[in-house]
Amino acid sequence: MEIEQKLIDATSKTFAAFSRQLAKVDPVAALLVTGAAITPVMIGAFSVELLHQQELYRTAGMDAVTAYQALSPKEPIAFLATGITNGLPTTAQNVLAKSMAALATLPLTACIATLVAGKFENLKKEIATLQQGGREVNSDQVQRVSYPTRETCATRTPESEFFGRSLEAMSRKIEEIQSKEEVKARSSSGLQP
Amino acid sequence: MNDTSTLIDQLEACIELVKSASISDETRSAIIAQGATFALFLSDVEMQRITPESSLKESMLELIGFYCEQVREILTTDPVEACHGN
Repeated sequence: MEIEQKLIDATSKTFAAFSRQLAKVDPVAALLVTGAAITPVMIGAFSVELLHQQELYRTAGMDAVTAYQALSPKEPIAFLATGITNGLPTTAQNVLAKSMAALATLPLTACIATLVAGKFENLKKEIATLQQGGREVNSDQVQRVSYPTRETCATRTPESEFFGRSLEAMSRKIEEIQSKEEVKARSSSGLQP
Repeated sequence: MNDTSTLIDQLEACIELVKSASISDETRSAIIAQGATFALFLSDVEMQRITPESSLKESMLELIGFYCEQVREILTTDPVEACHGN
């Protein structure tokens, strides 16, 4: 199996297991998971949207977040389509949808500010490099490795495949979180699931 | 037994490998995004912004350690040799 596919396959499973556990920690963490499912294709508007939802949670509680999320189209494709026409509840969501469609990689500055001071220097630098359009120096190496036409040496995962995977991940994660929140809302109002 | 400061160093070492690996920016972005999520979690735990129940926390820290080990194992396999070595 070629190295990039192996990397994505292995780490995605571990990351998914971690995300499921993170969703058990706290509603704020659950919001982080929603964002995390989106980040493979979209880093920047995610942080704006995440911060918006966290602020909503802090100031108005989980009910407000649930109500806000209910305003958004449930299906990822509908989300994208509505976002492209600026039809979503917030500017950040519209940006998010458009950026996802464009497979853009934007700043994670807001989240970086919350990292432990003096740590994660490599991570911060790498995010900055990706923000500036990627690592030019590696493009030759990537091409060199992918040069042979044999399938086992194809290093680039097609963008459409990444996009599809990310949409699936986002869709699954949002459904998972929404159903958790529905159960929680029902139990807090005394109704049976 | 994993502790957060050891894992922070392990995750940093893992990002260092990703940084210098001959992989596409799409893949690099995906791994960095996942790494950023782990970093946010580790930071929140270290600074006690979140306090997961201890067995859950231990299990999550184990997963981060396992993740770093997976990345290290995969990326320390020479990609050029893997393609041309036969």
